[in-house]
Amino acid sequence: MNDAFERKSVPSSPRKEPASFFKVPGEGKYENKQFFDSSVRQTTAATTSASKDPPNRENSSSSNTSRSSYYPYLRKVKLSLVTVPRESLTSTENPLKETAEESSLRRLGSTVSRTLSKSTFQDMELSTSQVESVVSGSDVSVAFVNYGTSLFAFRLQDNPENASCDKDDFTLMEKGSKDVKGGGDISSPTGSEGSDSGKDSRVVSTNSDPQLLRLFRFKDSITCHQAVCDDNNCVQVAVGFSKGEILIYFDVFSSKATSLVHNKDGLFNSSQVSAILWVPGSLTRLVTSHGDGGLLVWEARDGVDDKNSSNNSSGSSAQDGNSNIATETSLGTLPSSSSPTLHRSGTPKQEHNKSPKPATASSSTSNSKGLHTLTVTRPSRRKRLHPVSQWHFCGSPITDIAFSPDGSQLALTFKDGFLRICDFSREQILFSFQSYFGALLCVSWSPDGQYVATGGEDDLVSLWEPVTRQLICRMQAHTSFVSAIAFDYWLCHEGHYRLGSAGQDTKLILWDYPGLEPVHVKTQRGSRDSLKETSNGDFSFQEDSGLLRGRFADLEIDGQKSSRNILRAPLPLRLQQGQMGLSRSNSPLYSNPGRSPRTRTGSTFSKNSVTSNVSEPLAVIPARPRAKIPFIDPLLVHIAHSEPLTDMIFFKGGVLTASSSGLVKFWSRPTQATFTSMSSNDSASRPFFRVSMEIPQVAVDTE
Amino acid sequence: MGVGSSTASGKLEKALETELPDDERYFGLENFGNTCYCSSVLQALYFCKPFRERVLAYKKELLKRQQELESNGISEPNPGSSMNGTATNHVSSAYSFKNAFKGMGSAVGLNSKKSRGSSEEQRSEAMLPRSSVSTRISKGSVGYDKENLLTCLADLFYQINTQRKRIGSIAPKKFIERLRKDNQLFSGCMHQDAHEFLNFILNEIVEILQREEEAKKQKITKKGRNSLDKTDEGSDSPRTWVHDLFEGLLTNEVRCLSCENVTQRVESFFDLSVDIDQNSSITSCLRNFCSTELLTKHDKFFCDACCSLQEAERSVRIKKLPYILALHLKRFKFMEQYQRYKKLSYRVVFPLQLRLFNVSEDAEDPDRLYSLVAVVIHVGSGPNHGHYVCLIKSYGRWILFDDECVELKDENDLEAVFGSSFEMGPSSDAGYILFYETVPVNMR
Repeated sequence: MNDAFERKSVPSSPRKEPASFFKVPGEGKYENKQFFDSSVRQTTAATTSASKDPPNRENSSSSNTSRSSYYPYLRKVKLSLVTVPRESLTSTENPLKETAEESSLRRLGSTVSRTLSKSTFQDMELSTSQVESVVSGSDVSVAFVNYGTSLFAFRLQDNPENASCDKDDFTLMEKGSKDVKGGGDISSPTGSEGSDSGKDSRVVSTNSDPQLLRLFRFKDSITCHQAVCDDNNCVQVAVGFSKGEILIYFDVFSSKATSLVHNKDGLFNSSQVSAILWVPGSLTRLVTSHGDGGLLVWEARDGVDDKNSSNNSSGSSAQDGNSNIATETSLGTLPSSSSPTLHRSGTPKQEHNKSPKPATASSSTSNSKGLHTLTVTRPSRRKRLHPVSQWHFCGSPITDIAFSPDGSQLALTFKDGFLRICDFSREQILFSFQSYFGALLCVSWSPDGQYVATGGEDDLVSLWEPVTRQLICRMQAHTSFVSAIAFDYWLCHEGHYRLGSAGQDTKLILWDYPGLEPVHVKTQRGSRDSLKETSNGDFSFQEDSGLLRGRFADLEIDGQKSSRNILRAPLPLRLQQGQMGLSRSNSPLYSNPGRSPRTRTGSTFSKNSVTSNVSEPLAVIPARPRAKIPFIDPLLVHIAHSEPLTDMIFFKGGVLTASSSGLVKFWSRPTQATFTSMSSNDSASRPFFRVSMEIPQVAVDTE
Repeated sequence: MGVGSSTASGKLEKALETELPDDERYFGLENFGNTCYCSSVLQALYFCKPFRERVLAYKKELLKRQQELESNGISEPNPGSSMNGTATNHVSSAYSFKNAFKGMGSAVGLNSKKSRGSSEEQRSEAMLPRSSVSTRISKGSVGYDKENLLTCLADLFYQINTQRKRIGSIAPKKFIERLRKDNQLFSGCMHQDAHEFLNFILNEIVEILQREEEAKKQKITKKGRNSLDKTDEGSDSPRTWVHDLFEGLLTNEVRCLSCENVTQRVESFFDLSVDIDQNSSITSCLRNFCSTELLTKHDKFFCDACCSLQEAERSVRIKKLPYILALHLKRFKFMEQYQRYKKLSYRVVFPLQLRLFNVSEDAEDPDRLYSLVAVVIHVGSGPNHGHYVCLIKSYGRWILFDDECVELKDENDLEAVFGSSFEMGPSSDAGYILFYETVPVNMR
């Protein structure tokens, strides 16, 4: 692709490379450029201290500096996180020096107990159970980050010394581990990376930065991954690649680690893996979504049982050129037992060339349009390493998937702008929602399963309620595509939902629905509207979203204070309100003649009011007019990085964000005080978060 | 395009066979020395279906006009029939053919009529009389220019549209010559601004159409029974089909905060020039464009209703959404300190679909859905150098026009022209003019 545009472009001066951010204790600096050149990949795989082989770093870094190429696409830097007992990590042969680790662990333990005496965690509204788990200090969070062709595993120091507020921000920044970039730094939105790096290189001398536990390098670029932790505290991570291949590592942190490749050479689907998920409650099933609208269900441990027999083929022996992933595996830090030969014998390519159709039993749900069709194919007698079932949706690429908490339903977002909710076990589409415009890019399910949040190219976060098939509200504050969305499981309870979203506008935004603070519902006239206008807006949207009527109307009328009870009403009550609203929807009180000439027709409402009618064939809920849906303002907007964000996740210690340049930042949750100080008016970005740590920035990796 | 294009055009050929309709032509436009600013916009306009249709309709009319004149007994030389059937798809052959034809034309007393490939020739025959006619009937009296930018454009579009081959390239020489004659700005061989060209050509077409309209009216009033009986040429008002396609209305609203009285000023636009920010979306740029501003303190507004200075709220809103929304990203910023323009290669993302926020409440169809149909891309570091290419969407496929080269692209490749997300990044390919076309959607 690039060649077309590169031709006439001015020869680029070498990109101003940020100096290295991160230094592994006891080792030399990262050389960013080492990742540029694929020709030296073999050596670069060994350049971190995480690798077992002594790195010949000099070679790799010097040979790579020549080429710097601009990569115009947004890299899919994704995060996932597992929490494992400390023992399960320490039991492994940690590549880092023992002393360093021990000391940092000690620090971890001590600081935890110290900060908990403060009221910080109450401010953060962590429930007591979580606090206890922190107190125990036995769990360690491990963050996985994929960047280019590499997958990193870092141990996060849930280090409350950084995460807490026992001192003023700025003092903390001084005294703390110096990686804390407080106030000033962060508020300058696009601080040049160069200056950052100088600061950050100092950081590493302290032990508070994350420890690189593992580094895996591959030949293809990674597009997504997900790590899970099973009951035995074995971490397994599934990695998806740009050419459709899927690699699973079992027991990542143990010496018995194994790996397995699914969809080898794109046998079943050669388009890129857009998302990968473990089926909830199952550590053996996983689901991958693909760029061609396909969704594959896999049995993760296919054939791993007989791994011991093949274990001898570890190391760099078993590779001949075209089995790229497995080849690279051997260069990773794992004592790799992945045996391409085994896989190859398992799936002889000749037998199913390119698009095997084991179609025996095939079920399809379709409606008249054909646009919203799902075809599910499952082989009657599945061979090993074949997908359990293959789903195919209408050809539009799937951008993200999310399971409902109980695992029964699957939400998918599509490039064509649809959010589809599927019954996972019955393998059918329940209904399709349409974005306001443009593609939907990310999806998340609320912890109670009540809502689905999506973010997309309309710069909006949309909140949907599958039960009532309604678009509840739109959240507007991002100024570019929304690339990641997540519910904060630690702050969602009793009908109050906290969401976070990360956008390509470099912003991390927190939302409350319906919020601790009064939710300001604005109309499109903007926030400067008079009260009259606002209520106009309210009444106009109330027509359709009955659920909100009670809540927001009360909220406005009662002067923005007394509404908390209503807002926090438990779910049944809220539903009831909604239904009441519906029944009253035609009353003159709630209809606004001026603003909504096209009142909802009966058909809309029949859709809206249906509760749990899953047997209904298929509902396609088109985009709603702007004026009919309430808009919600953000709780907090913060410019988190200088480059577009690609992912964010909540964990008990705070928020992790990743940017397209491979930078990952760790933020503590804003405190209550933060909100009161800003509750007055604008939510412009101000430094409410502090960076507590950063992981190394690795440089651009060309395809 | 060199090495890469051979495979790329192969892809295009493959797509032509399977996905793209038979009657669509994909022709690159040859560069006559920094004319890529012009070619890229012309391609975008050509693949803007309603625009092309109207231009071709205009061409038809031209032909009809000639035939009528012809049938009115004007003697007719018989040029170049021997040349018939020589399809010119290759640049060099086009040249040679043209030269040959030119020579021929002068032999039969033609002024520099351009050659057109293949079937176009019959047309040029048909057009021959007209040149003599128009010399006879003076320009002013009829109102039809012998040759203007629109006729040149019509010829060019017609020429592309009637090519026998489905892909190739064409030399828009006549159009460029005319353009350089008509406008000082574009006269040289300098690199020009594509947006200025778009602006110029739209306004020029409007002028030409209005002039013709005017002339027709005059003619009808003067000699009512003129044999040239044009029945269906656009509307009677000075509103032209360019207005129908591109015109939108902005309202500049000032709302007095004490009496709620709203003062409005309406202006029309053919395209919107929006300021851009780093790492933003076109959606948010448009929202900023229409942002609301509060007039207070020293800046109060004199309200006619209140008869006093009052605090007021000023906002720009889109009152009428155009059928084709042309968005110009202000990527060239004048830097005071350097006394020159600098390119902002900010990363500004644009979705394939678009709806506008901040449409005024009385607007018709405020939730109108647009779909991206063409992107003019600037490549390079400054306004005075660099290159323009154009990505267009045709029947669901994206096709890159880079001067005479045409190649198929993937939809995901659009991401490569969003711009650069870091300040000091290399000058990158960046979307410069976006064309969104209305999608008919019933939103209930």
